[in-house]
Amino acid sequence: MKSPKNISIQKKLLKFILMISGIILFVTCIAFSVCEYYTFRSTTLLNLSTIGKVIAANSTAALAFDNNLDAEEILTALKAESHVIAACLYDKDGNLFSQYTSGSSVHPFPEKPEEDGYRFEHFYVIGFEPVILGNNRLGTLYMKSDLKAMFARFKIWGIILISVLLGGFALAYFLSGILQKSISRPILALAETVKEISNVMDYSMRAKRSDNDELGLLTTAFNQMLTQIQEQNLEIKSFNHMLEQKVIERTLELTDSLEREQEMNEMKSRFVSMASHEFRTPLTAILSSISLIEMYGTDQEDVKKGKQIERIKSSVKNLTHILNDFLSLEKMEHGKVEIENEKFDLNEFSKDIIEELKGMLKQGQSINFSGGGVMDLFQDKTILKNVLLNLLSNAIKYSEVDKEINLLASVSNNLVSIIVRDQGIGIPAGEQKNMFGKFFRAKNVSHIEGTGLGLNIVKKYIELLDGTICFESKHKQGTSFTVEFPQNSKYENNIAY
Amino acid sequence: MSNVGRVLVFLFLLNNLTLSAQGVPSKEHQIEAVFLFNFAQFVEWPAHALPKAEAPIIIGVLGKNVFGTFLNDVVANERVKDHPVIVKYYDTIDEITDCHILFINYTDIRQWDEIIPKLKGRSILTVGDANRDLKQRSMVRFFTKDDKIRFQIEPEAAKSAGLTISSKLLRLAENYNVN
Repeated sequence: MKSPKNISIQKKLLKFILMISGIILFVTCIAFSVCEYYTFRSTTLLNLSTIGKVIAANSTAALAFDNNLDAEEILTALKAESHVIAACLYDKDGNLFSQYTSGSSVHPFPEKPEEDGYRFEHFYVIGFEPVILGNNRLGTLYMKSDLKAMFARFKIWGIILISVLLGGFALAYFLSGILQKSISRPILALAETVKEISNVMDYSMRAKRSDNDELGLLTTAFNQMLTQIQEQNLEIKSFNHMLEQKVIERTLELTDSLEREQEMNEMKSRFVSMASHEFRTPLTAILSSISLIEMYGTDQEDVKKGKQIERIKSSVKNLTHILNDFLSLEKMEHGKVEIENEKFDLNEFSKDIIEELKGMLKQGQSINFSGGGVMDLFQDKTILKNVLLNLLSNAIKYSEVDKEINLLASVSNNLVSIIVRDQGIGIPAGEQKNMFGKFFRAKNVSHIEGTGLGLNIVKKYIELLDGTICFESKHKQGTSFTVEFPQNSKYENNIAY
Repeated sequence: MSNVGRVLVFLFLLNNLTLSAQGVPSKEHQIEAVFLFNFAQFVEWPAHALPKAEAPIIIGVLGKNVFGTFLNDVVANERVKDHPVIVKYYDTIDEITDCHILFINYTDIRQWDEIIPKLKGRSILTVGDANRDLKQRSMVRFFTKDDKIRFQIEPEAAKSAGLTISSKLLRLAENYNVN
């Protein structure tokens, strides 16, 4: 058997309704039965006493004139009352005067009349009725009635009772089956909606409200709860999204700084390996020159001394150059470069640089400058100088003796264009794409000293000027670098990058 | 205990002793005396016979008194519908003035032939002996059957005398058959 907890609300309602209607029906039937029983008892007594009074009144003459035959005749009239099974008359002195019994039944009569009146005795009603004529009591009538009539009536009553109980119960079952739906249906509908919502996870769904009762309130409350869940979900989603964005940002930042860190580390290790290699040559040269100067004793060998001193100078310059490159690179990497714009003439500026580089030129080499009229710039002179020095010294370094180097400068539409062209060893086609990489050196220059930082620095400088750099090169024929940048810098002075 | 009761007890005793002392009526007559009183309770007289509520119902005995004082004892203190009951004894018919029940005790049949026509038209219930009033019958006629006193009633005679006899009394009446 199911425990009450596992029974559905439909069945519970049905059970309660049936229980209540059953109890009410039962109690009503009991009440009616009790009422009926007492009514019938009193009716039975009343009926018998009525019959008794009639018989007694009819018996007066028979008793008065001592005619028991006539009395018997009168008593025989009781045949019509089938439930009166025995009757008798006593005379004045209480002697049996005449008697009557219905059918073949044998009923002993009381020896003497008892107290007047009617009463129930076992399953019979008995009565003693006085027979009175005028003021004189002539005798007593005794009657005995069975309760077959009452039992017969109770039988009918019982059948009606059971029919009413069953009918009422069936009607209650039928009606409650219909009526309880008005309660269980909205509950089931709500439960169905809840199930669907939790299955589909769609919190925009709403339960339908049927009536304005407690269930309606429940449905409304449930819908409100859904709205809240929906809002909270949205909040959580946007919050999650924000978090994700933040994580991505942070990750990017981390990756950036990590990359920078790695680059720095790489650069440092490259610098160590490069320095150990590149510093050795000038240092060896300086050491050997100093040894020679030491050996050269006195004045006659001043010319030789001078030669060695020149070598030392050049080597030291070389070292200084390498160190400058590193410093520049480091500054730029850490954004410590300050732009200091000033007005100057590109023609003059170019000629000064060419003059400065004269000492570097190999035998028969020359730098030819061609400019176009007046070219007044508003730019950082130091940065531009570094760019041109780098490009021109590269041209000198990677050109054979007697080769010409051209420096072309022009301005049009506020755009300055400077071309440095040499007839040097050129850049192999396969390596041209790496030319601006840090520490990159082409395979055909391994015999020439260099850090691999120059072009990288140049590119960064040009970017600082808001300009571009590109080149064309043919292996063993020469290279031409083109630098373009605005005539007037858009930046104010002293801005750090 | 009423007088009737006392009489019945007396009858019972008498029956056992089988005494027939002087002045004491026979059992048969005692029963007849009680019956005479009982008739008063089953007969209704016309209004002129009993004009007042307290007017007595008179039971008369014509001829020889066979009851002694017994009949007086029976009716003493009795009332029938508020009417007291008294007994009168008559020797001749001329003495009868107000009477309601008349017990006629003539032994000569010829006397009967005279008395009944004379009483015609009067509201008197005449009671006689069925063995004697053969020609001119009284309204109620006693006879003996199986050792019991029974009576015959002439309802037509009673009706013509203006008397109403209760059906209860009528159903007790039997026809007298001469053996």
